[in-house]
Amino acid sequence: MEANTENTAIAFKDICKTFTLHNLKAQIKALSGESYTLSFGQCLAINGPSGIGKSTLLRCLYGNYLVSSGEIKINHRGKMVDLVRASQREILEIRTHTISYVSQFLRVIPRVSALDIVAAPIIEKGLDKETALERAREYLLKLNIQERLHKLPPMTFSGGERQRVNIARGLARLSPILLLDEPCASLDFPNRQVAMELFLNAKAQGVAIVGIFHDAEARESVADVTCNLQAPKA
Amino acid sequence: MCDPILKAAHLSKSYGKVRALEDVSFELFSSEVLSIVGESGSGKSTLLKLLSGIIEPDCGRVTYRDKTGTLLSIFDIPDSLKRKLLRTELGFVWQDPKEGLRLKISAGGNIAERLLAGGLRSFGEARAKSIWWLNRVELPVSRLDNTPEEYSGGMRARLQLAKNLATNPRVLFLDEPTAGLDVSVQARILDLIRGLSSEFGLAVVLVTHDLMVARLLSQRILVMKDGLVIEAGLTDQVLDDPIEPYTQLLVSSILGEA
Repeated sequence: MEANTENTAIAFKDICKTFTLHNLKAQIKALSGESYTLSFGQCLAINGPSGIGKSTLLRCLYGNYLVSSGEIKINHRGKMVDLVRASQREILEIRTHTISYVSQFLRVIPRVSALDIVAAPIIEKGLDKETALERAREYLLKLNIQERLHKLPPMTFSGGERQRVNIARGLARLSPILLLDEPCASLDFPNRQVAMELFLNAKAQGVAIVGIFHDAEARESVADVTCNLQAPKA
Repeated sequence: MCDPILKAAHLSKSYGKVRALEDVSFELFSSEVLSIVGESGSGKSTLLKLLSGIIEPDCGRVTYRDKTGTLLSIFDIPDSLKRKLLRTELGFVWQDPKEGLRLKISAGGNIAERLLAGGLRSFGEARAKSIWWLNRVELPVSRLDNTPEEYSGGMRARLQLAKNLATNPRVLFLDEPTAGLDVSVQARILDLIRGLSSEFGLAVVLVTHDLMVARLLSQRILVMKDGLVIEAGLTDQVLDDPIEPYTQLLVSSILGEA
């Protein structure tokens, strides 16, 4: 059966990834032929034991890792673009407007305030500074980062606060596709609830989510489908 | 997508029998920061001097699209125009401050000289702009009348930056700009450059040996070895998933995480 492609957010097919470690003269097979098609408004959870390649798959979908073979079609402004064959500048464009990635750790220039960190990707999309700062403020508050912290650099924050700034940054730009790499791992229970609520909201607005969720309960609350990674055949 | 602001095609350069650069090509766009990394002697600084027209290649060309949209072939235009561009639309921050500053005239004089050469008429305005840029690079205004000889290495680097930025350049070439800076100033300088790039479209070519600086500042990266570009890609992709043996060695050799 042919899927309704207009509503397809992301379709990856036969993704293989092998790392070649030259100094160890070793080849490590991380992914062997993963495929999935995801529609807008759906959430795909990538599941499996530690070291199985969950983050590797997610990073491939962001263009952070180069796949060894396969294709990754992304619905970018209504057109399906193959991330594997896209130019560097096309990938940057897709990241600016279509795919947002929330990593496990926030990595930013020191001394830049939390507010500016969240606002930067919104400004990059082309929105004016005032709108961007207002939306950044709104999302930081949603994630329980109090106003008095907004002007401070996250380097001075606790691990959980930093991760909430990271989530705010990923969400506030309102990208149609959201990649989440254990976004709640360092959050306490109430803040985890808040974050999950925001992901559910995003999904209800039509955002497609591919995520790794450490916590089974969290995973079940947001995921429509689960992709269980198997150890690659040698 | 728009046209590149700077384009290098098949650049090669030898010094006697030593190959400094071989067949390097790439494009640079407005609002983009491109890092060039690699060990010392890999040809990074040679490439930067070729791109800015300071030295000439054995073969290859560099094309710059100027403010009016005219394509200029850097090695074919008259020297006077090349010098004019380097005083206005192009900026160059040297690793060796002696190349980029007059050590015996005041800091304010160094900045004013570039502004006046770039067409500014009023000394008062030049002084006001100098003060404004000293502030932006976090140099104390009280040191405006000191000469760079009386500055530390890190202060000289920042003065060069202030001087170059004062004419609102469209392309900035940076040779190890954060090398002598303590970390808190380094962070502020990185933020300043990134802000100018995203807000005003400044394009930057950054030579650095600091992979963390490359990661935080640049969207794309070139890895050089023995005069060749051996790997090129998005900065996060090259640093997180390096393909070439040399790049893997480079990335795995950093202390801490970049």
